[in-house]
Amino acid sequence: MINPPPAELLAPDDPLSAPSGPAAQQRIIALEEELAQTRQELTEIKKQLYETDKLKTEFIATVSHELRTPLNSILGFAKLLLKQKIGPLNSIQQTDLSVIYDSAQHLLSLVNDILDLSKIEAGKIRLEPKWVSVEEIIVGVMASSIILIEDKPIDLRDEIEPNLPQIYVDRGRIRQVVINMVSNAAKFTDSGSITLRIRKITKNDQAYICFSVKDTGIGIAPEDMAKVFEAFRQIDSSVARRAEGTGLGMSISYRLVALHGGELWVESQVGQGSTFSFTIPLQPPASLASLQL
Amino acid sequence: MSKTILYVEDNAANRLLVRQVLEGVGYSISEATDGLSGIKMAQEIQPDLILMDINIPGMDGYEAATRIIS
Repeated sequence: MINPPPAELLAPDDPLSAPSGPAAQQRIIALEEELAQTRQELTEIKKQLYETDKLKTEFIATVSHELRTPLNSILGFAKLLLKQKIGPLNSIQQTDLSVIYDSAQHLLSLVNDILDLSKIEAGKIRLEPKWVSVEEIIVGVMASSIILIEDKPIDLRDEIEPNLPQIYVDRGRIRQVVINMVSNAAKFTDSGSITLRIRKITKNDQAYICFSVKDTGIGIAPEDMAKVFEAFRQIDSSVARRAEGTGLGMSISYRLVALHGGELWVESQVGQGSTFSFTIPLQPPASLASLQL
Repeated sequence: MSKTILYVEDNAANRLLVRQVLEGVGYSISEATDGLSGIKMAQEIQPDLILMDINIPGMDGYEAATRIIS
């Protein structure tokens, strides 16, 4: 024998004449109460999540600051001793102190990168945009890159289109992106050339200044392309751990360019080299234009 | 006579570092570790230059500087 289904599970023939009577009424009230309670719980959880996220960001910012103070002492004293102002050093002492200095410098850049990334992710980064020329952004970048290529046979070139219009950017931040691209190229290139190219392009009827850095380095395999912009990712295979770095530079750069209304991308072929490019729109996005100083 | 610099900073390592760097180039250094004693010392020794941290105990560097100027 088959039992008939309970009445409340039966679809009413006419929706307007839904189950009525005191039992159904009570059921509806109960459901409504349940719903209201769930809604309140969700609101509470959302509030808690927001608070937790804020605390996490504040924690990272505070910790980063607290880490920097002792690091600066280490760097300062190591530098003081290395300059031999305090007294002469023998060559072993000099090497050992250089290791202390370089490691502290590396740790400091890690701390700075983590602070940058956490500020960007929390939407707390403060950009200070101004109208600047391309030359003002890249002045000295190539010259300081010479140190990065050390004694490798690499030709450093720049091709900058004359008479480029000014762009509305945070000069320090965009400079940081260019330096990151050039130093990345220097890390992964053993010989050949690194070329910084800046030109005006038009995409979908919009005018942009396009910065690109082309190298003749090891290149990136197609399956590794997406990882380049992920935080803490240096493509970790036999080739890759050769480069010291935080692995945060590209993901910071990617986000910084996006905040300026532009795009950052990479084209590459294994063994041939890579080209990292980014665009900055000549017409600044509304979010940036509102940051008037 | 060498010029005098008053350095107000609560972090001992920073004080030592700055003292060594500045004495190395021939300045005479006086130190204070908080805003209030910084103000007192500024009045006593009338330094040629005051270097002050912003985050110091008691009152912050901005307030201490304003009081010294006035």
